[in-house]
Amino acid sequence: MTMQTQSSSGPGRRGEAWEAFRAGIGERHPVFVAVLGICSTLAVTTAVRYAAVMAAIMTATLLVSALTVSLLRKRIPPAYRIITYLLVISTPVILLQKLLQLWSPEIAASLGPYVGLVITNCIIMGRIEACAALRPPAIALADAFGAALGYGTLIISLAAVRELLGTGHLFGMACLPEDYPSCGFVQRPAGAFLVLALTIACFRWLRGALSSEKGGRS
Amino acid sequence: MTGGLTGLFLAAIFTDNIALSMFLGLCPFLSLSRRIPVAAAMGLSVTLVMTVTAVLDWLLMRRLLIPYRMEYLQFLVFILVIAAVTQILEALIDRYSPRIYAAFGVFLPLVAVNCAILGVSLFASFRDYGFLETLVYAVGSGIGWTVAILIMSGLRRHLVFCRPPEALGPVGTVMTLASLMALAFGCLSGLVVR
Repeated sequence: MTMQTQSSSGPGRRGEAWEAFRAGIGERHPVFVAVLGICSTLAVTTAVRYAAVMAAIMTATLLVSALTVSLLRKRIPPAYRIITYLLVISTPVILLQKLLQLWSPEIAASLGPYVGLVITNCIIMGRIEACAALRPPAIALADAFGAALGYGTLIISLAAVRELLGTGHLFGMACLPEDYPSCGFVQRPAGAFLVLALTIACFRWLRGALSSEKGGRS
Repeated sequence: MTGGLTGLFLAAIFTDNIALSMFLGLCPFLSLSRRIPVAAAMGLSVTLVMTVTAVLDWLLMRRLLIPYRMEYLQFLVFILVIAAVTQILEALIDRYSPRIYAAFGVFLPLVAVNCAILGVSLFASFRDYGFLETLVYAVGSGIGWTVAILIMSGLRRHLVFCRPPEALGPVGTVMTLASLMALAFGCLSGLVVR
């Protein structure tokens, strides 16, 4: 939302693409507002490393599948669209999983099946259904990138909170005093739900404060 | 304290609950937990589809993909199996029991895109479960998910009587409830030998 100031929204397609991108991090944020894709969001947020890898996988998959669906949008028969989308999504995921296994077997083993579960992440299906299946590639890509950025920043910040409070580390490096009593609760699943609930509360409160300020001015 | 298959079953229901500990199938867990009958119907559909697909996926994995060294097709095959199973079940139920179809029919397409179904098959294959283990794990996970969504819909009925902080909003409130439930389910870990 801070990017609003640098918006050079010219008329036509460029402005439209910008709008689609901006919505992904602001008013149509995939996790806060549309409440989608929470599964992988919480499972990979015990450490920042894992969250960053997951965010990268999500971004690549979203961009590739949005582009593919957008290019094929006039040829996909409506009755078989869901299964077509699933196949389109799973192709980059398979490639990325193989790459991850080559690049870092340790992270691949820790993420385990959650890499494969990107296929059924509702953010991707949601963006495809709502945008890529209807709009030209440029807009679909901008929209997908916005959603990926919104998702990525969220899971990385959740992971930062959980790793810092839970272990006293950040990116695997100690950054709190030695005698910090690690709060195991934050690392447990129950902690994940609570941190997400509080983050949603902050986001909503902030948005409420911002919009009332805007309303007061105009 | 129990180990073996019983332990696996109990762990799948309580300590490794598919919704509260693995974070799978949370979208319907949040959106369909407003009314108890709907939650129960969804839970049963999920359990049924989960069991059938996990067994089929295990067979395909062991008899087809691994012998012919095509493990990289795992995701594609699993997804096609889920889609096929939901379609076939829908057609069968519609043909043989329109009454049940009226109650459950709408849920089967929703189940198809439920990450808990794919998740159970993937976890069973990732942990190298045998046939019986896969079956027990799938049934247990289904029951666990049903128990979780039933408790959640029961709790949500009582939200009418209380006023959670406004900033939490409906989603934040349900997340807080889920956090407390996860805490309670996690405390049953004494039941299971690791």
